Amino acid sequence: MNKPLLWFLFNILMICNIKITEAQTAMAHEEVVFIDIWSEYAALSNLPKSHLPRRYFQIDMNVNTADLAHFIQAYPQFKTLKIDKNNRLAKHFSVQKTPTVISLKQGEVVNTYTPNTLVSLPNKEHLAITAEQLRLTSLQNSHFDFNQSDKHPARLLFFSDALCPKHHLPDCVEKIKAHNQLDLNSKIEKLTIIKPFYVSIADAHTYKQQFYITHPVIFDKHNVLFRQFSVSELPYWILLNNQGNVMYRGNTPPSKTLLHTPHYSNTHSD
Amino acid sequence: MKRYYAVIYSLLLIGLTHNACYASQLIKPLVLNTIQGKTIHTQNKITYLKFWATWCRYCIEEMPHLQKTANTKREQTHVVSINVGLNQSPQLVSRFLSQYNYTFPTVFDDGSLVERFKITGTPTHIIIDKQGNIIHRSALLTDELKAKLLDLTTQGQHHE
Repeated sequence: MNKPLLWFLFNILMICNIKITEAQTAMAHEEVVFIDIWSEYAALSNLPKSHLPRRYFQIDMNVNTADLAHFIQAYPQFKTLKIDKNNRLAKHFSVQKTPTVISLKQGEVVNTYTPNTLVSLPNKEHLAITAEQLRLTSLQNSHFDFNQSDKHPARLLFFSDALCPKHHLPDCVEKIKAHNQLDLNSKIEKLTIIKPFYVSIADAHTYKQQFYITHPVIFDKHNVLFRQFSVSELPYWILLNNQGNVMYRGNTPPSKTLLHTPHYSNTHSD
Repeated sequence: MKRYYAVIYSLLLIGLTHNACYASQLIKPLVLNTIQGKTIHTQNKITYLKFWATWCRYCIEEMPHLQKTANTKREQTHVVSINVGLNQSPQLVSRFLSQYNYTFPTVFDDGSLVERFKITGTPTHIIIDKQGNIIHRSALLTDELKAKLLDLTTQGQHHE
């Protein structure tokens, strides 16, 4: 074969980005285990014991390297865990469930193990909101009632997420800072509302400390404020007047003019 | 001879580069088989795809909006939910839809659509125009997406 032809073939390989899969270069006998860290957090998988070396792969869905590092710190037994970028290995082995253990011998699959797990249907998201659930307590132990009939001061609500920073929370760090720095009319309460999905009240406390928040932070345990005000985008601001009516909503803070409009205050004397 | 290989190599490079750009900008028409037993052809139609899973709480929370959009969509628009298929089964998805009376067309993905659209998070919302351009992509149901979807529905027609 002449040199140009070799050069040509080499470049084809480079262009097409053909890589020998990790499985093919694997050790003579080993196990490849696919997991989902979010499920593992909920309940660690009871994997069969094995004397073979194991390599762990995280399904490439809803994770980043920081999530992985955090998980490995909590569960060092998964220290070999890597993200299966674009689910290439999972696709190669036709894996659609976690955990799945694949035993390989010289790159060939000799056994596949997937425990039967019962997946339940979600049942919390569409439940009716009760008046009691709209009475919330901040992390600082102040009480807030969001029932519309109750009289309360005007409020600027900042809907946020203790998972920040994450890809589904664009510019969340900057927006948290912007909310902290907002100069409000003294009659308007500044609040932060934390989404309860995948986080605990402890995470909300961490969020408060991490972002130096001095105003009240409410962990919306039942997700009722997000539902009550139809907030599906994060982070997000809602300005309520003292009747509880929405005067502004958006993914940017309300304008200074709006924030200093007299009728947002408790009284009409300003 | 060298020139011959160089020309082929250049053509191949151009072709692959062109295809890569094409793939990133234009989506070829999709043929989607739903778990309700229907086949959807997206050619020359605006298509709204929502990628989701039953274990994704953000996804479930948004479902009433998806149903509302599907109910009011224009004739030349497709609204399709794509279950990502990870730790899911078609039976489970059918049970979920039935439990909440959701009737929007739903595809149970074998991984090919997730791969094709490079989905690495749920939910993911994508709108494709009639020419196959992705005109919207977001993780959550944003105000911007709601405004675009309003334009795809009969509600949007009243505003025109």
